[in-house]
Amino acid sequence: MLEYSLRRIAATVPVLLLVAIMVFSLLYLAPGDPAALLAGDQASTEEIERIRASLGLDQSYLSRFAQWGGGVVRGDLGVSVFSGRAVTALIAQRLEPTIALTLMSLLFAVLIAVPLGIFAAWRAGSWIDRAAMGFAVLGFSVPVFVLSYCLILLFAVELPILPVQGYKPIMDGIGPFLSHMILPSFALGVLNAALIARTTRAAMLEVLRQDYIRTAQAKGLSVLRVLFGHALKNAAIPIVTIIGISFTMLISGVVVTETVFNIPGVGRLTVDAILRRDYPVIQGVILLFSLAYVFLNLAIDLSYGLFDPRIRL
Amino acid sequence: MSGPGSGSGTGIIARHPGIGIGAGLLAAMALAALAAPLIAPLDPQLIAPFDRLQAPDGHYWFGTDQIGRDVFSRTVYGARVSMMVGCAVAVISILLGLLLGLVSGFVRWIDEVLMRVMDALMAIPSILLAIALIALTGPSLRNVIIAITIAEVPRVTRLVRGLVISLRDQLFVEAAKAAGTRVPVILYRHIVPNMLPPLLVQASYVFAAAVITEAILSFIGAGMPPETSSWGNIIAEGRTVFQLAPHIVLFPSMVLSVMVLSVNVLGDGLRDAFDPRFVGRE
Amino acid sequence: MSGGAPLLEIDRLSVEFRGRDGTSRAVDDVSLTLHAGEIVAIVGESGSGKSVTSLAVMRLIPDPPGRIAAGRILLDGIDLATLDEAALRRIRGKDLAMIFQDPMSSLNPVLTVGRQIGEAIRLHDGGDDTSIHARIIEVLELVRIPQAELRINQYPHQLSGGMRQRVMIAMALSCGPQVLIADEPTTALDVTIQAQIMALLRDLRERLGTAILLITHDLGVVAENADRVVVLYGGRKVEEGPVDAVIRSPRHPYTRGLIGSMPHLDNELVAGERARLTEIQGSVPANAGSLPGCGFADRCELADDHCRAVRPPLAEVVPGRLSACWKHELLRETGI
Repeated sequence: MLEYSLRRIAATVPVLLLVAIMVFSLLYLAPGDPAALLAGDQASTEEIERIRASLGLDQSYLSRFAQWGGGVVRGDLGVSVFSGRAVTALIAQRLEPTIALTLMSLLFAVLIAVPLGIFAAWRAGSWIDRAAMGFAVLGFSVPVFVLSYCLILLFAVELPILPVQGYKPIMDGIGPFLSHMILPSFALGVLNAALIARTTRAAMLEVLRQDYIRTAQAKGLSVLRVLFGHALKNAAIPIVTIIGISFTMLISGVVVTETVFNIPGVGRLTVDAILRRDYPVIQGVILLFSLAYVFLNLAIDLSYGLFDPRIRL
Repeated sequence: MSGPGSGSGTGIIARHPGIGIGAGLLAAMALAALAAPLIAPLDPQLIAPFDRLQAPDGHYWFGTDQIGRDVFSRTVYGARVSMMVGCAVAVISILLGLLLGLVSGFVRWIDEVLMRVMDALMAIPSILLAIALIALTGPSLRNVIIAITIAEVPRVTRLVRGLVISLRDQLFVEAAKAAGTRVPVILYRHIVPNMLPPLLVQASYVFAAAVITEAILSFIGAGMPPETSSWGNIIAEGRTVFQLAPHIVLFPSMVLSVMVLSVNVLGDGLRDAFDPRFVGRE
Repeated sequence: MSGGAPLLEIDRLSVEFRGRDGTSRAVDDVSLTLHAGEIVAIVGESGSGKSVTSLAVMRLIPDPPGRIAAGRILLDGIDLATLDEAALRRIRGKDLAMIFQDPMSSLNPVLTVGRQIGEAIRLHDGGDDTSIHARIIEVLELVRIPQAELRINQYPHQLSGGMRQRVMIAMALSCGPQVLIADEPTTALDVTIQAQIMALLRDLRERLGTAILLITHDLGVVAENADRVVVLYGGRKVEEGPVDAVIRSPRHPYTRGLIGSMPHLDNELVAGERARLTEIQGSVPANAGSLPGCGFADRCELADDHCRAVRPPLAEVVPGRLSACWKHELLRETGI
């Protein structure tokens, strides 16, 4: 168990290093003078030089990477070119709405997709199955912002029961918080729901063929108990795995959803930073999301033993 | 050699109607994109200051935007952008992924390095990577295609690598080797033909993802140049007046969704017809 | 044959499966009875319909594609064939329990032994955690699992094959069923364990009075354990009778073939026939049911044109013994 965990953890080190190198090197991909590009068209020579120095572009690639990497390890992601504030502080300030949106949409996705996938598999080939899988293909096909606008039009404009956009922190009360979060998290959840539903169905189809399902039925258990009590735990590993793998999709969706619903989260911060070419912020945010992805998937890998006692980690 | 579920072309389409429906819709849209100047009633850039924010009617089928441009004409021209991005990204990512995957599947030390690089690339949210690249290199069709391709290549590479590894060990490849056949011939005769069905399916998923990503990039303001009639741009411009004139957002959104849906339905149909178990979206 | 009303009565059961090429009958007009404390074996090759019969009794035939096309399955007078799902669930695992062939694949790999045994008890008999726990320990000890307190928290993969089958049996017995269906309970186990498991089943029958319907392809198991035997071929019953009599003097060439192919039965009674009957040639033809004559005719060395043209009826050839063979008289003469 310990050996596997250690090896799995060790395997993330080169990936983390490569992610850091890629995120850092993005800046060097830009044609021409990045400092001039970042400064914009109207910048004076002094301003360009100031940006060049603040980004360390006057130093060599390696020494700059060592400096930046050293900072990252210490938890210092540099300073925003635009606002002059620490990137970590900017991100911390925007974290709550993003975490809330991510978790709630994941909750929506799981609550919709897992039962849907289970019943589709249980009645494979029936109209329930066809409808559920049709919904899944639709979920893949309707872009997040399109769905968002449809939901806004329906629930905030035509029958105005929910706010069009904006965010209210949890501290301001759970009611306003939820009313602002329902549409964005649902819109964001649908894409993941489609993916999770398909994976759940495939995994359950495999499990429902097994002999122990017949044993459970022979005990007189109800369909629900057989499906949720006996089958689901056996199908859990592919389901949690797909949740981990689709995390990057979720993050891409967060960026869009926060833009559509004007939610002041990390996604919005990213878009603003990109439009302002605030490079340290872009680097910091991408690095943060990538680290979150790597660690989430590490945690999921290490959790397999919880679902299947045969896996001695 | 015929795979499982092979048969006459019409038989396959009859059993998997998604192929016919998806391909039909897609072909219709491709035709519309090609014939955009013939179909669009007006110049998509034509500004009609007195016809701003017109609701859809007999003249302006999809209404007009806030500077009086015909949304229908813009949407028809927008199909060109989506088609081009979709096709280009699908073709380039499949070719690149094929190359990298083959190398990875056959050369052990390259495999180690390449797979870690792909892991790292997949850890970076693709939209963020794409917007960052475009923010740095500037909005243009070429840069949009490059940015989306970089995000899609790792998936294709992993797919190809997995296929190569499973095919490599199969008996017929062994047999071909024993008969003294050279590696490029094995590749050409045995491995590549067996990879075509799953790659075709994967290509359709890449196409769908590329069309969505382009729309998202343009929508966020880090995609096509703002003056281009791309669906993402039209929707982004309609955003500010969404409550006043939702048609500007809704019509291109619907067309966009239908295009992605038909590609996905086509891909699922092909997947079911070929049954390549290796292929997934994830 | 025991007197009194049977506990389980299968009355002219037919089971159909719909396939791409139309409907096929997996079980055709099969009847049998099982009395309290009795062990009745159903014997046949794969495809004979023996497993489908047992699943039909449990009403666990996957539907679609399968369905009970005709007949009744009376358990204590209640017809299971037409019972609704909710009422069935109260009977399954309670009055009627089943153990399956492969104890590894038939136990849920991700749930503890205790949980899997306990849930049937909780469902049918209720009780608090302490009483359920006590009952789990009790049934584990009943099937002679040592260190029951330890086993209760283990997972199936931590147990040996024989131990797993004991857990399956404990699970089936947990609610005190009247009828236990054992579908090839020892096929997946090695020989010494097989004998132990069968001894356990016989012992449980003695102690608890449980009636056992034993499904097997192995006449050796039948000879040593069952009271009566029903031989199925191509979904039809071809012979039935007390085990000793059937083994000593089969009245159907198919049964005789099965006896001849028994590898370990040390039986001088069939020694003379062994040279000719070591193997039954061929396998159950897929269309056995739709042939006009006897379904076994193509594999039978006694068959003549009459056998191929007219299907032999199931008839009482000796009191208490049934056979569906035109040549059963001939078998009596040559079969000693």
